[in-house]
Amino acid sequence: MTPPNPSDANDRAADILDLLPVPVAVRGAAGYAYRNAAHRGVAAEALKVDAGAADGSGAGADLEGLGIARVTDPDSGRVYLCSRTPLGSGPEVLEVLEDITGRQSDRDEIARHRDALAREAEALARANRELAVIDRAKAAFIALAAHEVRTPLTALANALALLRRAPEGRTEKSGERFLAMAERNVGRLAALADDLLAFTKLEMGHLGLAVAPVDVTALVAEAAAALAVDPDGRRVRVTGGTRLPALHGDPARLGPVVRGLLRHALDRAPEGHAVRVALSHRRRWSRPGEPGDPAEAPAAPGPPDGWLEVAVSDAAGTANTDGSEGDEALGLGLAVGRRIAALHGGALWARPGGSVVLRLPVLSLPDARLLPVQEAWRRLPRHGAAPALVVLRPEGDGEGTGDSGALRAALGEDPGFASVPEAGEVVGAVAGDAAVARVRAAAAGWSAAKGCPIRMGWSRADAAADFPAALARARAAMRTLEGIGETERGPDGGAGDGAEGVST
Amino acid sequence: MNARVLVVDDDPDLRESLACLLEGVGYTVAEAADGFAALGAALVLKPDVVLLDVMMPRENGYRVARKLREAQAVGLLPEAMRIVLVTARKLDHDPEREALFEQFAHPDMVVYKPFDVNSLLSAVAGMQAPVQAAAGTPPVG
Repeated sequence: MTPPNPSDANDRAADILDLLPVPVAVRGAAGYAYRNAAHRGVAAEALKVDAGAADGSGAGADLEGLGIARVTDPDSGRVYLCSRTPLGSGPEVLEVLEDITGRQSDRDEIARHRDALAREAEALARANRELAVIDRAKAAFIALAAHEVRTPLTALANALALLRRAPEGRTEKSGERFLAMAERNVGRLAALADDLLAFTKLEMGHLGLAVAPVDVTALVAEAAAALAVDPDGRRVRVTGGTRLPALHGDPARLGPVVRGLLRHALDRAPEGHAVRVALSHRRRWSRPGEPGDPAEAPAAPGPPDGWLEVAVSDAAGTANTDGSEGDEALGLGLAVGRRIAALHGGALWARPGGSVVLRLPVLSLPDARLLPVQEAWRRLPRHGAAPALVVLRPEGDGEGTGDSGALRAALGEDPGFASVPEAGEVVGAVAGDAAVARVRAAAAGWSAAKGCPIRMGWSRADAAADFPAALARARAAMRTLEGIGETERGPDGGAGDGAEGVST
Repeated sequence: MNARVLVVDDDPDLRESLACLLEGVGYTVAEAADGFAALGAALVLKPDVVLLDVMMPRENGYRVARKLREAQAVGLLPEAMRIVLVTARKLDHDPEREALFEQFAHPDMVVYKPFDVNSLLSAVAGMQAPVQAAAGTPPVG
């Protein structure tokens, strides 16, 4: 590039500027510049002011009117941030403030951070919306609990008032009747307190599952037998209890849910009517042509072996026609059942028209054992410490020390962990690298004490990660504890998968 | 003739205890276990006061009250019949919804469980005096 002859003004300015200890260049009106003696690394004649300087005005190069220009040296490719000071009507002094070569990529980085922040803000907004929904649900639940307590409390107060009033003609028999009424309602209040306690434990994630094979047909038969004696002639009629697939869950938790379903329907059935219980195996959540239950539908594709359903309705179809919805329609006892069903990966809801449905996934025993972990995984906050799914596999030495149950016990009472003996694994959901490190340290201690090597892997997740995918990734990342580096990080700075290791 | 009171509640203990309390102070009491039964019983007995639970299967108390009012309007039930909603459903978290329900049902009074027995009996007794307030009077209790 051949520069035009400099103007006298520029010559004079250059002479003066040579005396200055800071890097300064002078750009002429025609778009060229000089450097002073202190200017290093800038090919003065070739300096170009970005974006509009070619027209000689320099206005376009002024970054947001701050008297600062971005100046490029096309020979070296370097970019400088310069202050600009006009000298009369034409030339101006460009003082190099900073070499900003590479800042374009910095801007890209800033843009990436900005996008990440926007995503985080959206995630926080989503979390806030979810919290608002939870708050409303909690308020509705408290109202429901208060409602459920008021009826037996009123009956109890009335019974006591009757006993105190000693109306004329009251016999010993009637006194006994009112005492029995009082006792019965004290029992109802105690049962409500139990329900509240169970509900609280469920909400806090403190209720574990002792997973075993469950015979749903037998559960229903037992519940029906227990409720068979009804003074008003109501009875239970069961259909479809044959050829059902094996279900795995916690029978001690599911039994009361089924009894509650039947009791709920019996309480609402007219005198002399039967409560119908229909058992069925469904390959899909919704059948073609059948109205779905979108509010309750789980994420596709659902369990490969489908669902087992218990639908309870009274003969008059009156189980839920009081206009109430959700937990309010189910009452406190079934609100607990609803949470237990969810803990089993299923659902319980009142269907408009009068039936209450319990639907549970048909899971293998190993998959069912993972249900509490899945629930813990679902509950982990998606902000701050990244959720991680940890898999530990003790390598058996032939003397039983490879028992995953023993390793599970050594890790403490955390309900987010489960032993899966069929796979020889312990699987757990934890929040953050520090928690992973604690698990690793505990496992290492157990491994050393038992002389049993352990393989470990984990996967971290964002909000969208589903449980099966996270589990598969954690399993794929497993390696021996000794092989896990102390300070290695995930490929993306900590948000990745695997057994890259954490600092212990 | 003793005043007639119809007690409607799906909870047998509550229904029975209320009936006993009312009988104890001289009322003639009939009972109904749900909304449909209440409508039939009211048309036959033509009660002076209906104590009506809200949360019931088959037909809720609001709807029953509405139908009782409609029956009153066409002369099937006595004009002087009073309706008391007895409810545990205090919608503190949604007063607008509660007001809407009561506007729909036009009760003479709303009583919330658990209630004071003496207050309830006094209120029912007060309803036997000549009643000036029209149906839809703002509820108390």
